[in-house]
Amino acid sequence: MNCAEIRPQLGAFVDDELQSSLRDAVEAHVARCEACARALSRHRLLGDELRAHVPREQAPAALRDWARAAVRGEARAPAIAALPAPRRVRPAWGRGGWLAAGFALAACMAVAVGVTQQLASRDVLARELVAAHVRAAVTGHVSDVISTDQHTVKPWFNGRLDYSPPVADFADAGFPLEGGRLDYVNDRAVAVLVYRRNRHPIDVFVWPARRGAPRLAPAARDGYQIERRLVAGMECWAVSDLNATELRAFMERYAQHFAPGH
Amino acid sequence: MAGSTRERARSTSAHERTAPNGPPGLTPAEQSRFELEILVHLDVAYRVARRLLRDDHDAQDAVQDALLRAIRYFAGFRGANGRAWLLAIVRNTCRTRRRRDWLRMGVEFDESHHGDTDAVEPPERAAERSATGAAIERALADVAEPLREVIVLREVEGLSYKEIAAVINVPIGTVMSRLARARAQLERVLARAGEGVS
Repeated sequence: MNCAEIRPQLGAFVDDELQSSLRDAVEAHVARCEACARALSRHRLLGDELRAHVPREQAPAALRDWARAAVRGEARAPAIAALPAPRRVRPAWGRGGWLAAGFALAACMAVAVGVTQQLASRDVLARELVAAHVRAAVTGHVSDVISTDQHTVKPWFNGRLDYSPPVADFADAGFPLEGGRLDYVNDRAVAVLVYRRNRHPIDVFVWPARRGAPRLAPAARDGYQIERRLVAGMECWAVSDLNATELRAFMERYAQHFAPGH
Repeated sequence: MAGSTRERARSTSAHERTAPNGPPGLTPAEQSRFELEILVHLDVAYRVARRLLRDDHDAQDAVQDALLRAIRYFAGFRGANGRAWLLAIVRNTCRTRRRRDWLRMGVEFDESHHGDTDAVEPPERAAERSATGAAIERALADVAEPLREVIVLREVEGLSYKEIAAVINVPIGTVMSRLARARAQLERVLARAGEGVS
């Protein structure tokens, strides 16, 4: 066999998917053809690189939990990942010139608007948080664990998350603890503590802070206020339809309670 | 335009027909069989969906959709290969979603929806990964979809040609030729990115 016949077989040869007669032919050929031997080692290297560098992620715990519940017929149909936002629609290449043009336009707009990565990710996060808050209210699925007792709410997260959110009741300050739930935000399962001020529910989303995480100014969105604090090494984001002043007062109280020396 | 309208109608109704509604009923015996034969492949399903859709959130959504379908059609699962069976459903779900997203694009045009993966990935997460790994993953994301799926199934997940043929529903010969094209394209992309496999 000549090089032109051998080359298309190299991939299958590396994958050990050739019939033995063909395999022998390829083996014999690469033994004496340097160019094909080089092509063969390029094939091998590519495979090695892919296996070495493409991460083999595990499914997120929340997805796994949901899946187990679904098998038992216990999963709620609109599932954790069914966040209404963010919807990112991307063009598939080669579906026609107008799509390419649309994408080019989108790229130009992105540049023109000058959205920085941080601003964009803050907006996405703000949108996700508000969506999660609204969804909880709309579906009535506000709390997975309903308790005004911090010693019930805090342990409830054990085993459901790999961290423990700071929980305390602030009924004395007019912000009673109502419960907690798991939600899925910012590409991860997060703890949500549910407080209430008069008739206004307050969701506090908590996840471990990362070094180098952007410090983002709170942004109101669609009539909802957002307040962020770093508390005991945790990112804490409160979302509520409460007015900005009271929500800030709440978050100050919350942060102060867990401050060192308190 | 008539064609795309027709396609929209078809894809919408196809989606609605298969949309999850109501709890699917598996007997307790089926439940444990499902866990053992199908659910053990959840990680693979999640990874493949991620690489096909290039978006974590969409991928999780698609996996949930696919699992609900798998549960519903589990009675029809006779084969020995639960992984290939589940992946075929995941892959079809991903394709349906992409088609749907495409058709929506005209109505839901929003600049913030069109950023690439890098713009949306939290910076702290991107930094966690090695530079090479990130470059390779970017290159992989750049490979055209019909080629990307074969290379992901083969090189990342280690499926045999026969399994891949079952997942994407084409003859083995087609798997072989697509894989050859996929590798060639990936090498070109990597070389262009200056991260060529030397």
